[in-house]
Amino acid sequence: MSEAIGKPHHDFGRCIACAACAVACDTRAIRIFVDEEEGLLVWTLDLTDCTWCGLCAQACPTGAMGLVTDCDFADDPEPPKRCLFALRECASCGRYYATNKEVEYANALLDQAEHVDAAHARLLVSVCPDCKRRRDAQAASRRSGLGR
Amino acid sequence: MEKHLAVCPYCGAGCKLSLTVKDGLVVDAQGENGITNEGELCLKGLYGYDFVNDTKILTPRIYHPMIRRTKGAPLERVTWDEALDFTASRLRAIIEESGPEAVMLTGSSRGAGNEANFVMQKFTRACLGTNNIDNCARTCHAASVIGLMECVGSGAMSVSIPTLEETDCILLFGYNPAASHPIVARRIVKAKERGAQLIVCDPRVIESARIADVYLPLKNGSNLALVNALAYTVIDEDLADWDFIDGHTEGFDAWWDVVQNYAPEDVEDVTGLDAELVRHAARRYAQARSAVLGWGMGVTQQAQGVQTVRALAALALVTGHIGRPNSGLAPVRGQNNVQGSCDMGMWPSLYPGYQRVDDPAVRAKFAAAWGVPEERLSLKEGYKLTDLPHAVAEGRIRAFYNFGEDPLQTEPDTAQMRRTLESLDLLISQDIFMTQTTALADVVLPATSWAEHDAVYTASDRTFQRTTAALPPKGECRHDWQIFADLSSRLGYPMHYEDTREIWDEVRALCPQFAGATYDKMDGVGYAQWPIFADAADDPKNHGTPELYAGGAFTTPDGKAHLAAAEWRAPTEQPEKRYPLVLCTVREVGHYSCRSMTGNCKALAALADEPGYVSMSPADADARGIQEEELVWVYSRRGKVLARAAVDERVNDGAVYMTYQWWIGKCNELTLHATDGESGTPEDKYSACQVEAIADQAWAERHLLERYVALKEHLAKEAAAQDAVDAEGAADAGAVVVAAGAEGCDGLGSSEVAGAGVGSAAGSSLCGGKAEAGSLGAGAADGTPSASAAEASDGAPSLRYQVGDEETLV
Amino acid sequence: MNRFVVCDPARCIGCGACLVTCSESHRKRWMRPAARLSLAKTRTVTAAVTCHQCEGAPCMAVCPEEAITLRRDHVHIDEELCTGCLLCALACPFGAVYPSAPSDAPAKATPYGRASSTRSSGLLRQKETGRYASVVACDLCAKVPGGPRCIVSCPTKALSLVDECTLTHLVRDRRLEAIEKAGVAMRGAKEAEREVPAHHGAASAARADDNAAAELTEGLDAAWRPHASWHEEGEGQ
Repeated sequence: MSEAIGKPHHDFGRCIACAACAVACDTRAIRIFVDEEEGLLVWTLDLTDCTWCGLCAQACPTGAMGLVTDCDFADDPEPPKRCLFALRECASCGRYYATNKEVEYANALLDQAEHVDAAHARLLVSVCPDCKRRRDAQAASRRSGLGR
Repeated sequence: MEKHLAVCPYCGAGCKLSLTVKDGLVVDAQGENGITNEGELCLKGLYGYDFVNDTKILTPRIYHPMIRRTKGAPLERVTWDEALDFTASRLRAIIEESGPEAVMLTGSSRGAGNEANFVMQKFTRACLGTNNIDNCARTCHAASVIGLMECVGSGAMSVSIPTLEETDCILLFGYNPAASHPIVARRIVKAKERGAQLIVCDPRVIESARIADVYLPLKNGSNLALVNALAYTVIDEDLADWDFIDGHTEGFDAWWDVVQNYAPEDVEDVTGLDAELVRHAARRYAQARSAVLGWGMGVTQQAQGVQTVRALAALALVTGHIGRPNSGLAPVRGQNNVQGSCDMGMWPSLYPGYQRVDDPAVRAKFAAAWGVPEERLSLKEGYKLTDLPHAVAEGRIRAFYNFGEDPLQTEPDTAQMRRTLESLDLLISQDIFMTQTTALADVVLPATSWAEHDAVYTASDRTFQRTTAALPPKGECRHDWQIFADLSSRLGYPMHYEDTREIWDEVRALCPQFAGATYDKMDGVGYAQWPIFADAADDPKNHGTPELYAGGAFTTPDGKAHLAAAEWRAPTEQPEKRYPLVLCTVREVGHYSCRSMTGNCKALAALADEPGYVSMSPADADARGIQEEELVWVYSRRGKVLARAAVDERVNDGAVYMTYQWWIGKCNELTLHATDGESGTPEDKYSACQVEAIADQAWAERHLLERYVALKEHLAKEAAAQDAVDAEGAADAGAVVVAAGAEGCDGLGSSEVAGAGVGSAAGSSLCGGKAEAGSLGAGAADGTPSASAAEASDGAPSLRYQVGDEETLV
Repeated sequence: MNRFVVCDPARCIGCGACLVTCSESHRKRWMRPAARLSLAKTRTVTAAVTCHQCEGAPCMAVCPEEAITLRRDHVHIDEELCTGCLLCALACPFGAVYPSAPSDAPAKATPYGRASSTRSSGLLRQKETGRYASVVACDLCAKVPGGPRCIVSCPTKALSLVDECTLTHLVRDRRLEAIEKAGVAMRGAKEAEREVPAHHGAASAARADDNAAAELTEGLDAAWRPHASWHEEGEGQ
C-alpha cells in the first residue's frame, strides 16, 4: 500500500483507458462504461467518492493519473470528469475488444522489443483474445492430424 | 486424514475413487484403479464431493424429520417416532379407504444403493401389498429395458464399457458420451486411436461427431426411419449374416415386410440425409469385424422409443454383431445406480433379478422367503411413474412416497407435476437435501448421503461395485434401509437388518443371477458383473459375465432373438408458426440430473450456474436478434422460462437444446408429457417452442437474480423448520457455511448471505460495492464461501471451518 | 527451450476437468482461483488452449510494472506488482492471459451498472465490472510437486507437456498417421486389412515430412509472426 496520498489528476492525453485505475479504486469513484451504440468507452471520475488513497496513480501504466497533494481535502469537489475513448474492432470477428489508444500504446511498446517489428506487433494486437484462442485450437487440430 | 474407497455417485460409468476425510469433512477425491475408470475421473468425480459437507450453496441438507400435521400447515420438526407413526397412520388410513393400489412409491437411482432399494420394494410388496413401485429409468432407458427384454432377453448393456476400447466399430445413435459419461468417451477416444471406425448419428455436432469417421446429421425425430434405412441397406447390399439370422433369430419375414419400404432413397426427406451417406454408414457397420451399437436418450426419450430400440437390436442381429466377442448392444444407463434400481425390482412388473410379478411360481418363492401369505403379494402390474399425474387427477393414487428423487425438476411438464404433487393426500419425501419436491412434502425424512453409508451400485454395464462410508451420519439422519424397515415394522410387517451385508445376502439368495456377487468379491477395486451365479462366489478369478449372449444364446424363452419392425411416424407435437423450433433436452458435463448435489459443490457451481443455456444455431439467433450470452425467453404451450443464449455453430437450424439441470431455466416447464405407449417414457427430445430476445437485459439479469434468490430463500426457510427446536442442532450438523453460488455479479453475494439461514454471517456489504478480496461475496470460484465476519480480508483464502483449534482449508 | 502444455483435439472431449483442476489447485495454494487455460470450441474443433511459455514473450515486453518475468521454465506474473492494466492480455498471441475475476467463464450476470452486451469482448465487459485485481497465466504449476495438474486430471490424457523438439516429432507422426488413415478410408473398409505397399509408404512419408516441417514453422511462427492466415475467411467467427 502506497503512502502517497493526494487528489487524483487525470491527463486525458496520456490515458489509454486500460481501466487499471478503475480496478484499483475501492470506492468506485472511477468507473468504466461501454457504449456500443457510439463505439465508445466512457471513463468517469467522481471525486465525491474519492478517498485520496492514491491507488489509481500507482496502478496507472502511462502516468496519466497523477496525484495533487498541495490542496485541501475539503476543497469544493470538481464536477465529475468524463472522457470518451474510441473502441477498436477485432480484425477477425469485428467485436469491440479494446480502445484505439490501448492498441496503439501496446503496438508502440512491442515495437521497442527486440525481436518484433511494427508489422508483427500490429498483427498481434489487432485480434481479440477469443479469436486468438480459437486460432490456437485450430492450429492444434492441424498439428494433430485431424486436418481441419 | 483417512481415505475411504467409494464409487462415484453421478453417472453410470461406475468409477472407483477414494475420498479423503479430515476433521469430519470430505476434502479430496482421487481416482482409483477400478475396472472401468482405470484411475481416471471426470470433473464431477474429482470435485463433486463437497455437497456432503453441507455447503448450502444451493440448498441445505436436512437432518431432522419434519411433518405438516395438516395439509398446507408449515413444516414442523418432530422425533423419528412421531414422524414414522404419523406416516404409518396416514398410510394405513389411505389403504383402508382406497386399498393398497392408492399408494405409489419410487426407488432412488442415486446414492442410496441397491440394498436400500431392495428393502423399499420389499416394504412395498410384502407390507403394503402392491406393485406400485418404479424408478427414474422410466424417464430414461425404460424403452431399452422393454424393447431388449423382448428382442434378446435382457434389457442391460450386452457388452462392458471396456469393450468399447477393443471393438472395431462403434455406432453411436442419439448418445453424447462426452457430456453423459466422460469415462466412456475416454474409451471411445482410445478406440479411435487404435484404428476403430466411429459412426455417429445425431442432429447436432456432438464431440463424438467431431472425431467420427462417418457422421449422420439426421433430422430431429427421424430415428426409426434412419435405423430402418440402415437395416434395409444391410439386406439390400447383401451384407447380412445369414447364418446368424437363420441360426439364432426368428421373425425375419415379418420384419422385412416393414423394413423393405425403407430404402435410404425413399426416406431422404424424413431423415434429411443423403442416401449414399446412409448406405456408406451401413456398409461400414456391417463389414466391421466386430461392432458395438450404443445409444442413449436420443433414442429412448421419443414417442417411438421402444420401437426404435427393437430396430437397433434388429440391426445388430442381422449383421451378426451381437453374441460375438467385442460386439453387442450398449444402451448406456445414465445415473450411477439406475441399472441397480432395475436390478432390485423397483419396477411395477418385476421383482428383484428380473423375475416377473405375474408368475405364480415367482410369487410363491418370494412369499416363502419373506414369510407372508401368497395373497399378500400382488400378481398385478403396478403403476408407472409417468402414470402419476393422470392417476392422481382421477383419485386413483392418493399417496406418493418419493425416495431420493426430484420429480418437480426432472419430469416433463412441471406445471402438471406440481398440480399432481399438490393434489396428493400424502406426499412423503425421503432425501438428503431440501429439494423443490421435498419442500412440498407432508413428511420429510432425512437420510444419509453417499459417503455416509455402505452400498452396492450397479454400473451401466451390469457391474456391481461397493461404495463405503467415509463419514458417520449427520444430525438425526438414518440410513434409507433403516427407515423403510422401521416404517414397515410400524405397519405390521416387521423388518430388521443389522447391516447392508445382511440385506445383500438376502438379495443374492433370491436372485440366481446375482448369487455369486459376494461382498468379498467387491472388496477394494473388485467387482462382480451379473449374471454371476452361485458357483462364482468362492472363485476369486470369476468376476462374472462381461459379454452376454455368447454364441448367440439369447435369454428369451425360446432362446432365439426376435426381429420386430415398425413404421416410422412423426413426433407428437410438430413445430408450427407460433412455436417454430424443436426443443430437445440434453445433458451437460459439469452438473448432474436435478443438480441438488453438484449445485452444492463449490467448484462445479462456479463453473456453471443459473439459468443454464439454450443452444441455438447462428441462423436462428440472427433471425431473432439474439446475441451470445444474452438472456432470452423460451416458451411453449406449457410454460415460459428464462435462459441464456448460446449461439453455437454445432447446433442444427430449427432446433434448440437445453439441459435439464437448471431450476430457474427449467426446460421441463416446456416439455410435453406425451409418452411412448409401451414404456411410459416421455417425449423429452421433441416438443415445439419459440425463443424470444429480451430488450432490457439489465432488467432480465435483475429478474433472474431475484428469482434465484427467492427460490433459495424459500428452500432455506422450509429447511429452517428443522432448526427451530434446537438452535445448536444446526451446528452439530457440521459446518455451517454460506457460499455465494453464482458469480460475477455484485448483488449476488449479499443475497446469498441473506438467504442462507442459520449461521450465516451478517453481511450485506456487497450489494453494489466492491467485494474485498477473500471476504464475503467473492463468489464460489474464489473458493471462499464466507465464514464468520472475523475472517481476514487481505486476500488470504477464507477459512471455511474452524474445527477445534485447527483451520481447514477446503 | 521452454516446455508448455498442449492439447490434442483428437482426444479432447471438452469436459472442463482441466479448467476446474487449474482453478482449484491454485486456490488451495493461496493463489488466484482462476483457470489459466480455457476451452476453445468451433464447429470442428474442441481444445484446451494454453500459454506457450514464449521466450521473450510479448506479454513481458508490454508490462509497465515489470510484473512478468521468465523464471526457470515458466512465465511468472507477480500479482503484487500487476495492476490489471490488461496490456499483456492484448499482446499475447494466444489469448492465454486472463484477468482473474471471481469467475473463469466468459461474461456472466450483469451487475446493475453494466451497459455492454456480448457485442463486446469479454475483456471489455470485465473492465466495466472491475471485478479482477490482476492477471494470471499458466505457471506450469510451479508450486505443485508433480508438475501441471491439468495434465494429470484430464480423463482422456489429451494434455501433455512438450517443447519444440517433441512437438516436431508429434507433428510428423500425426501427419503420417493421418495420411495413412485417409488412404485407408478411401479404399473402403473391406480393404482396410490390406497392407500399404512399402514404396507407397516411403513416398508419402517424405511428403509428410515436408508437410510437417511447414506446419511446424507456421505454428511456431504464429507465436511471433502471426500469419496472414488470421485474415483468411473460412473459420467460424
